[in-house]
Amino acid sequence: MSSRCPDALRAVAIAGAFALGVASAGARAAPLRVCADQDAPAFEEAIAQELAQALRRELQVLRAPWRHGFVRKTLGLCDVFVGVPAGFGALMTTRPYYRAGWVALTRADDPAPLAGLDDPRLARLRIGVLLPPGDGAHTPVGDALVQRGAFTFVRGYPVAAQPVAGMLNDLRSGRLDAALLWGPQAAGAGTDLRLSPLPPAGEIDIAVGVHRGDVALLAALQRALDARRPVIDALLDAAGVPRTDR
Amino acid sequence: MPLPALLLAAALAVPAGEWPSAGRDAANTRFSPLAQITTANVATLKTAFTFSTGVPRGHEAAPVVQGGTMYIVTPWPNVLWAIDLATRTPKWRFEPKPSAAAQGVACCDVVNRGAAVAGGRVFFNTLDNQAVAVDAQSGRELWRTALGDIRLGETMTMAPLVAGDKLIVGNSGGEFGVRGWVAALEAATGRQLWRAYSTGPDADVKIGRDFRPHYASDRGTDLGVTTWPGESWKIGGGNVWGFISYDAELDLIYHGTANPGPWNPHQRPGDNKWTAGLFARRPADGSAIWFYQWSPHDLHDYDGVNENVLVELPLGGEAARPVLLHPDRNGHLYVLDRRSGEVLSADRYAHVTTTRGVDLASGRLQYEPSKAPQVGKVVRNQCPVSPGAKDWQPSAWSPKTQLLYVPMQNLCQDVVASTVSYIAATPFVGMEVRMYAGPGGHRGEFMAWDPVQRRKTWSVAETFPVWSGALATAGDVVFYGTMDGWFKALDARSGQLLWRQKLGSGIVGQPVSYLGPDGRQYVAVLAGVGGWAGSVVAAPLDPSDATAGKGFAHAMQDLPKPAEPMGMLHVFALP
Repeated sequence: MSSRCPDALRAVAIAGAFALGVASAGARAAPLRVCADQDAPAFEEAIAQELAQALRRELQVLRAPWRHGFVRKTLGLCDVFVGVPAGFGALMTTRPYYRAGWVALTRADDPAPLAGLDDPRLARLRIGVLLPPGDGAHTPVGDALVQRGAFTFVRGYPVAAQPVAGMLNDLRSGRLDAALLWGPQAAGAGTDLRLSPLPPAGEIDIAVGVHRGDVALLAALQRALDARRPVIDALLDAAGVPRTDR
Repeated sequence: MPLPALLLAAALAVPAGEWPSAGRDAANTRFSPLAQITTANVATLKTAFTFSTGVPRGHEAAPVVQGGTMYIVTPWPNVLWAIDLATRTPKWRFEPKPSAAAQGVACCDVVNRGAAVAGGRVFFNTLDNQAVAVDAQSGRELWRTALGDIRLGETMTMAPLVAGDKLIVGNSGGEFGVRGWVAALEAATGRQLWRAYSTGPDADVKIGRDFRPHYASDRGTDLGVTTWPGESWKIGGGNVWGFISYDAELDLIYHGTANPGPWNPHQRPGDNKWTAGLFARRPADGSAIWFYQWSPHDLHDYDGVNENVLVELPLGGEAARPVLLHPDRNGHLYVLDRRSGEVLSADRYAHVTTTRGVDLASGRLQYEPSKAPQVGKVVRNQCPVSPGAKDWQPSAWSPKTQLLYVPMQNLCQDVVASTVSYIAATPFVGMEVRMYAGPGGHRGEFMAWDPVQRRKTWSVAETFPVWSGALATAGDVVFYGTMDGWFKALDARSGQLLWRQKLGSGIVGQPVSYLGPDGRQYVAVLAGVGGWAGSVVAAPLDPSDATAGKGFAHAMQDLPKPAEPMGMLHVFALP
């Protein structure tokens, strides 16, 4: 059996909850097939729309759970991956379109919220972090906690089980003192929560990715990103993304 | 040497011509008492028949045989085939139709390790966490019991064990934070009788007043909670996906527990009980009798689920001491008194740099600190690798030769860097691992171990990791398969290659032997490369990405693509 087609079918099957959104652009060229994690923020899809328009191609968005092997499991289904770290090994990536870091969410009415990673109470506060699947996988902000001796009251939220919603619920109901999230994930969490950056946890440049060897598409996307820079910046601002590159 | 009758007792409990469960007997010996095929005539072995399963990917199952019928479970979608061994044609097929989404959560290919047949019922597990019983004659479904949730990353790949009127099963999925458990189902109805977890309070683990572990470090209250930071035991792993053994005389089942997960070792200080260890439990109510931890605070994803082979050996002044043999992923071959959990010996059977041996006084594995993983740091020459000196692929014991035949890896790994490996709405960092051949340059090995003398009797090097099970027979011939598709027969006493045949795909299945309806001895194995080691050809991994397949791809780049993409049963006999 040729591997390409069945693998693609399997990828569809894998996702189970694939949502296929087709946006109209009226273009005749092949659609621009964009893949993103199922929990990727909505602004990534709006940015994909900008790119598709610049390329005069119809946009198709495929959202699926981004797990280990996502690129290979969606082989034949995606041309473009939005919201990926620049230099992401499985893909070729453009120059970054924004940079972000990790942030702490605390309750706005908390009289003594977590004051960054060097808060002396760090090891005693109840802190939620995302827990990635895969032996040895970790988040930079999780590492930052370990380096500061905070693990006893750190609660991990496995990625498989809608972790962000669970974490925010626990924060609002007082079961957590702070939720540590990737900045774009925390954008728009609500006015009842306070967002504060956690610079020591590091930053990551975010770019657009294509399959290795797809040089022409990479160049076209780079031109589109450059041409639509002001619009993309406006989309990120409107979404409240806590950028660290400006 | 005369055949020690007592040592054969377990094997003889199963009729000589049958192979009703993955391990053949509840002791997991994988020893066939058939002796028509011998060292003198095996060279003339020929294909008797073949059968395509119609399913691709890694075929790790043992074809099980009872009453003139063979039962095969395929990888997802877990089709159960019944093959009439007289006509060599299918009697029926049963399709459990597991959820397609289960494929996406299986860590290491969508494998299944086989069915078990007893009392006119065929039992097996589906990748989406259902235990199923099918009528052995008609193929009609008798019951199915849903046991877990794939949405949380939970799957089932293990071969169930029948212990009396109970079916013993367990789950996979530690890398997703799935809490490990073992459960007993009523074989007649599928009703769950008990479930024991591998982490958490004593009540959940079924630790009560009968619990008497041999070592002090396993005594205390609620160690499944107190040896973890905070509440991380709730997502602590310790899954039960290996082969389970049962000693009917002692009335104990033995099951391993997998690695603690999914935290980094630094995020889970403590022994992380009861992961990466071994439980002895009463099948009636699941109560724990003893526990031993192979790898306390497992640093290297060594798991603890490798098989436990129940044998009797002349040790410690006893002529037939009831022991269990366990070749662990951490590179040590353990002999434990299976009444008490006492470690009688623990010897290196592979090249080991990550630990400095087992302290027999405390029972504790001694880690080599310089080889411990450190976030952001390069650590070179970790041996064995995470899949271990040997992974799930089961060994076989011959009561005739008193040797354990062990399929192995010979691999080391460098943890080169931490890089952003994937993004599930947030960037995650993975340890970039590259595996490569250990000393000698070969990546696999098949060896015979003498557990009394505590040394290798013989060993043969293999180009690729030996990811198939082993089969021992009373004809003093042992069998195994290679990932590049050679099915081999060796002299059980010398390791001399007596016969080999190239199959259409790599072999990661478990060979078995049975007596056909015509009274002849057959040897059967499934070909169909895959599994963790074989994912470089079974799944569309990019072999140029050295860290694909959790670093395994780097060591497997030259594994040939199979000529035959579908799983294939191959059955051999003398002419």
